[in-house]
Amino acid sequence: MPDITGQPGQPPASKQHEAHKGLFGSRRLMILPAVLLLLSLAYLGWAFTSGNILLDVDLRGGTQVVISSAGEPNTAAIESAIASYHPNVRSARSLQGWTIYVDVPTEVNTTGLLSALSAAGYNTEHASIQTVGPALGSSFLQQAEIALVAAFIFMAIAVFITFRMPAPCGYVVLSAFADITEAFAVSQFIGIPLSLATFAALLLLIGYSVDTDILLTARVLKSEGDPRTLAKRAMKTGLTMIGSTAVALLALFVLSGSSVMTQIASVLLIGLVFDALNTWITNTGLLIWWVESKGLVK
Amino acid sequence: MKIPALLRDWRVLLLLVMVVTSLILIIPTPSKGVIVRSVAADSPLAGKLAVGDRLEWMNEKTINNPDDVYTFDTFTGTLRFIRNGQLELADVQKPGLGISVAAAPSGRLSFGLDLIGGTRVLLKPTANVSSEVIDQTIATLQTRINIYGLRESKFQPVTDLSGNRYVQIEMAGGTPQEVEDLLAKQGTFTAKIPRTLHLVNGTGTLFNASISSTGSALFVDGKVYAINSSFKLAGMDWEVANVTSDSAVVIPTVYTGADVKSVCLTEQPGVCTSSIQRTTGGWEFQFQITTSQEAADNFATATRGLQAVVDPKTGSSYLESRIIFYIDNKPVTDLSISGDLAGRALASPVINGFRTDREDALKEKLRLQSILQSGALPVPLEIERIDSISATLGSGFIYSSALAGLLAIIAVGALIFIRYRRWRVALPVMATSISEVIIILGVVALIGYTLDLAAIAGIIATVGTSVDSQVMLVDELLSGAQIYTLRQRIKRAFFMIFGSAATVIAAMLPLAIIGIGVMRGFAIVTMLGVFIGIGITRPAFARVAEKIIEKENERAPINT
Repeated sequence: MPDITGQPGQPPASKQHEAHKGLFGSRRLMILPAVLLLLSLAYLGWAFTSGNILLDVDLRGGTQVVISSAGEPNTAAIESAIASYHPNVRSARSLQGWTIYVDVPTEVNTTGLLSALSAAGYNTEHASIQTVGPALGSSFLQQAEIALVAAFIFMAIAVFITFRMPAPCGYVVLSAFADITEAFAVSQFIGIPLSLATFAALLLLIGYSVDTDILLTARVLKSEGDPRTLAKRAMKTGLTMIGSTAVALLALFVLSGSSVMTQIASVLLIGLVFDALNTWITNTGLLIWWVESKGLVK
Repeated sequence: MKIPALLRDWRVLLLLVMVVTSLILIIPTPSKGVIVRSVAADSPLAGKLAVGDRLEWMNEKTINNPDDVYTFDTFTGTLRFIRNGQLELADVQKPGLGISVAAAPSGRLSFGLDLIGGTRVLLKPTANVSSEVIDQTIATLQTRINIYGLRESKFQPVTDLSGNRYVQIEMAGGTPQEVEDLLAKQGTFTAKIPRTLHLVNGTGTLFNASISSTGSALFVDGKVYAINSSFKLAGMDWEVANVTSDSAVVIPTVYTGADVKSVCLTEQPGVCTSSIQRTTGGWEFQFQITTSQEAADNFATATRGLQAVVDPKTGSSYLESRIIFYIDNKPVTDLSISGDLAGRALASPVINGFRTDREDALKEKLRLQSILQSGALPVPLEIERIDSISATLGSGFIYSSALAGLLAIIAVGALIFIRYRRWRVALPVMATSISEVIIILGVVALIGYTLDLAAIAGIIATVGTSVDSQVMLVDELLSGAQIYTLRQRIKRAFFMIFGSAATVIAAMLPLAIIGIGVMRGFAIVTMLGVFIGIGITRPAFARVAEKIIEKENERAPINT
């Protein structure tokens, strides 16, 4: 990792220092993300303890039948047509039309379900069927939890090695934690089930969200100048980064038509919104406060 | 912008070489013919074609795709075909070639099941077993699948974090029902011939043993046996099925799976029978098996002394008892035994069955043949997971993800253009992202990794991190011009790029190590992409961006 030993030239005049003391970087603004984080934690805590966590078939166990349809499907009508199978029907738009997801318990006879679906007027000739035993599902879930905790610890280590300063690193890790918690809570709230795919997206979000935090921390700590000015400049770069990632994900979300892709894209998109909040309010506020209280303002 | 000067930079050169090599690896080259994926045991081409052969020509028709072969499904007569460059002949007596083919692979990229369609099954032994037992299980399953004719299949032992062992099978075809019937059945085979003993005053004999009834249990040579218990006599296990004061039903097991020496898979006139015929209301199939001498002797013993009955309608004579074949203790067929077989050793019994539909009859016949030929699994298996992906749905995914990826890069380019108002900045960003995708695909093709949906998601994730890094670099180059030199700014940018790459790798590492399902591929490809990014594409982009910004700043400073 290269060390930054850029020879400072002329330090910029910090006469406008006071003028920057607006809402940006203020600790008062941090109430908003703090409330969001608490709400998310409370929601997740409630969902976990009450068993209301939404799990997809690969983590819960069950059978999922995927069929495509040219026109927009009426999910409620499908559910009532095959009500005896205790289904849960969702649909997603794809390039070629619509994709319908039918979730049923593992013990359901798929042959019977498929004929019921074709009797209801849906083409099941090209159906995809996925069955996961409940035991395997819960073992996946358990391994996923281990992977999440390990990923978080590894990320924190990587951040500490990069900056070697406990407090700023702590802020980066805190803001990444807030991103993941909030993205997970909101995706659960709007009905995106936790699956191996959304789970991988949460892990990837660790990497994505830390990008902007590293940018902010590096710019503020490793440059000469007023921290607020530096942070504001960094925010411009950071928002471009978030924007470019968001448009790429939007393309994926709109066009892919596969549940894996759509789930990954939507969780990352939600995460990016929170990343913007957490980086440019939480992390910025904490970092500026730390720099100023340490008297590090140059 | 001095192109030659840039081209002389080793970073840019390395990128170009990698892109060109990757393109050579992934661009499909047109190829002739189709590849044989399976040959059913009763195919008229069985023995003349093998899995993996290339079919190039059939009866004056050049074969370019699988549909060209399937037009011969109704063909009967002499079929001439070119297999691996050689002309062969086959006599097709009834419609149906009984083979499946696939388009010849035209590039080095191999696509996963979720993109080309197929079935993936995860089977778990019901008990803790050693890896030897897993290997034995795989061998048995392979025999079954080959006989059944499921298209090209891949077997893989899998162990999870907690040490549980599984068998994973990927096949190009097969429905969940077929998998359940063929692979998840242990396949313990038995054949039994029930026998009713008539007792006088509650006593009788069975061979040289004296039998007496208590009305609810049976005494055999002085030992008492309740209903459902069994005793050994004349080298066989006899189950007590029913006992009354004047009769008893006992069921000897004449054959077990170990007694099956061979199964007739293809009809060979004068040697063995394996056929299917139309009968009233449906289709009847039959095939012969060859048993060991002991089993044949068991048959003789078990049928000795059985009465022959004459069917008043047909005039044929049958024994009073029927022979019942079981797989996993479930009866599969029961057959009447010809009257003249009583007391005679039978070493090649014929198993038959009936289905109303020809296709079902063929499949059931193949299923029984596969299970009998492969023998029982060393351990019962249960299905933990089945993914059955339709080929059309899958190929739609390839198309839409390619389109989504391309549009994602264009959208990023547009955003960068809006931000900096310079195509000279936006175009290299797009070019870098595209070359990163090409190099990842090239590496994937080179190491023979299978590209599945999760891997594609990983590639798109990489494009996201790659664009992030490029924005960091461009912004760093454009900012604070008066403080640092260009080189220092690149160094500063790379500090952040390395930092963020390290966190992505750190976050993906656990997922890549823990073998949870398909998401392992996602993590591996994302990490691969990050390494390619920091090692090849980003350094090259930095050189290009440095030159462009130098040049652009001379013309008119870029407003940030």
